[in-house]
Amino acid sequence: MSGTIDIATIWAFIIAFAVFVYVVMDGFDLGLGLLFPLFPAKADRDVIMNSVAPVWDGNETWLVLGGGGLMAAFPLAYAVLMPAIYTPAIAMLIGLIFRGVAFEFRWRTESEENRWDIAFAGGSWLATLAQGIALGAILQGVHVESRHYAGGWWDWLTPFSILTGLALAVGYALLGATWLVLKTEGELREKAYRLSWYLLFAMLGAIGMVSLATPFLHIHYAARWFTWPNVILTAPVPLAVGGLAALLLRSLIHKQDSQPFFLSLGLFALSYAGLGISMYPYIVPQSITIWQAASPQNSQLFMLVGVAVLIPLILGYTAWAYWVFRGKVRAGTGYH
Amino acid sequence: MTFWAFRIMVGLGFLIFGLGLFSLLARWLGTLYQSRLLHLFAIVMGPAGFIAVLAGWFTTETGRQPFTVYGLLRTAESASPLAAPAVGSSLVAFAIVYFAVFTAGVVYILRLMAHPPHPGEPGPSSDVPARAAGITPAVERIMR
Repeated sequence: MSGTIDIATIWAFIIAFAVFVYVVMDGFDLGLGLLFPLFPAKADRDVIMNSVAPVWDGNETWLVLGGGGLMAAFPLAYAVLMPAIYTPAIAMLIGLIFRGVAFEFRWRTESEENRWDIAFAGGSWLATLAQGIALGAILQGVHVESRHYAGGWWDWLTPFSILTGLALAVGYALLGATWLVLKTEGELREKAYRLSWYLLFAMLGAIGMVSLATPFLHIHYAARWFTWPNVILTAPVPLAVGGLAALLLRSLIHKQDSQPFFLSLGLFALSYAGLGISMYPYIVPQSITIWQAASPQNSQLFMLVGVAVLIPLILGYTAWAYWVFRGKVRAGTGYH
Repeated sequence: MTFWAFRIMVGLGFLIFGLGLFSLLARWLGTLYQSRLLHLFAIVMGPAGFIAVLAGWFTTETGRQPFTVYGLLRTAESASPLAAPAVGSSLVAFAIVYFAVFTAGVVYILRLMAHPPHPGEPGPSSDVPARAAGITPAVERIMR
């Protein structure tokens, strides 16, 4: 069956797309939460929150679409993966609850020691680390016996999953810093530029470490990347990472506000493509392929009609929202 | 349990609908800000939405037992292969988080309810785009 384009493959791409859109969109607003402790001034924090307040909750639509799509289109993968990453998944949800209510409640209290600032930063850290750890836990493979998850509830915790957790935090922080470069002015923007410098190098280091560690997880990953003729397809990925990083450096040097954010998104896209190269065609690495996990073709076809309408609709209103709130965010007057 | 949960949900639904009609009527008669009865009714109905949602939740979750998918899949058969401590600790964590967030929410709602409505309050000015939740609400800052 492999090699041809069938419904299961289409669904795999739809879910991969939904998760990617989630990662880059919620990634930058989680990144703002990660950077929050570095901006102690209340005025700065107000601007940072306001820069994403109109769009952040729409970003999480994609998490629901990715998770719901996985359950409906690949129920076996959902049933095996969710117990495997149960603890990080619950931790992520709790983190998202705290940072979500922080957007609503932060404005309801005037006291200087605003505990919702802590909820926002703490929730963002918890959710980000949990997502990165879950990714590492899936990538390193889970213990499957006769179509059931057979591991324990602490299997997710390994040096590799800690590495991916920290790597994702660095990546989200870079997205957050370059978002601030795009959306703010003055001293706040200057600080975001300085942070972007550090975070770019940290992100390159993180990409390098995860890329070096992954082939050691499983012989399949090493074979996928380093054997002939696969190399023709895989070698351009690290080269493109280098190229994008150079462009990003140049835009930071010349302070071209509109570029760093989108170049950072490009770095995420390449990392994600690398992940896809490592995993395909497995949906549970090294044990279950997308065809083995697929729900009946009728179900997949039925839902395909649904998402064929929904996804363009969501993309449309999302683009509209970002267009309405385009441009720099100003403190105070412009907003009331 | 299911019997009463369903009736509470539907009953509250009708009461909420009635409150809407009552206030619409008062608006037409020009007594929206004067009718003590309406104000009392509205305050009493404050938590009705929460209670109705919870009652509805109880209806579905208890009403379908012992099935997850009614008549097809039993709850016992659909449980994940998870260790009991994993499920237990996540349940406790959610209970704590919900109580913390819900308590804060109730406090802020009560604070908002402490402000009396202002007759003839100007609406939002039309020259700036309306902004969604989370933006610094200027009106409230002034009110405080």
